[in-house]
Amino acid sequence: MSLWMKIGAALLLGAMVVAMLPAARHWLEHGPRGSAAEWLNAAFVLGLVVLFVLLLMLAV
Amino acid sequence: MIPQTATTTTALRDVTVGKLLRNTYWLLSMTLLWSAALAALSTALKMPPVTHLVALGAAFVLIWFVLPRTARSAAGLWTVFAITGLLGFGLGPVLSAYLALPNGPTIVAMALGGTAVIFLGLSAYAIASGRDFSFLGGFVMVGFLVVLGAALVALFLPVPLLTVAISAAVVLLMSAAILFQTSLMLHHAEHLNYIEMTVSLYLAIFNLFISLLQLLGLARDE
Repeated sequence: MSLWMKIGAALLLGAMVVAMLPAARHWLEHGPRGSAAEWLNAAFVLGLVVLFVLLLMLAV
Repeated sequence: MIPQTATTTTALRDVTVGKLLRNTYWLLSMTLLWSAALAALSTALKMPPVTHLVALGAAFVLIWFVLPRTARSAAGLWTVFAITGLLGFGLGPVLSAYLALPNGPTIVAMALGGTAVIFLGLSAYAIASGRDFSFLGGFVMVGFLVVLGAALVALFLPVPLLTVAISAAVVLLMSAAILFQTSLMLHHAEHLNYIEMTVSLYLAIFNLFISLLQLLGLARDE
């Protein structure tokens, strides 16, 4: 990647961070809190996704 | 009288949820087809790598400045197709680079199939279980900010392990985002708009596909 492409990509990533900050702050402060059981359930489902991706990577 | 009112409210809510889900998934399928057609065109035209960056930048401007002003009008549909068209067209140079690898077509097909399986599986689970995953909102938002920061570092410090970690984190975060957004449609339909939900789900699928492509490409190199 050329230096100009890197600078362009960095500017774009920086703009995304600035644009997302208010929404992230709002969800952190006012978003609903999950119980331990809810987090465990979400972690189990996401764990299945990780296993599936690992299988795909092994199959390449 | 009270049970009847409660039944009517539940029925109205079911209609709202059904309408939101139907409209969102219909528009999402149309935008995916449109995006795939433009990605194929961009690949056939052998567009230069800078196309990817320019298209991402233009789509970002539309998402943050135009979509919020048009999402509740007919112009919102044009905005959605402009965003997804730009992102699809920008995907061309990335696909060309992967297709040029020895088993590139297999990698692209596996990333595409993997994305479809993950999206359909997570959406089906969120809908069938009826669980509320809205508590994942903060995790998805903050996680994505951290990934953006790490991607900034990786631009100027190209460490292969960091690239793998970023792609893996994006797969995880976008999977959580699919659960979160689908559950939002089920539990908070009255506050949502199908055009904005389509763009949110499209971006999750787009990021998931790109990250799977990177992970499978890196796995092939190993």
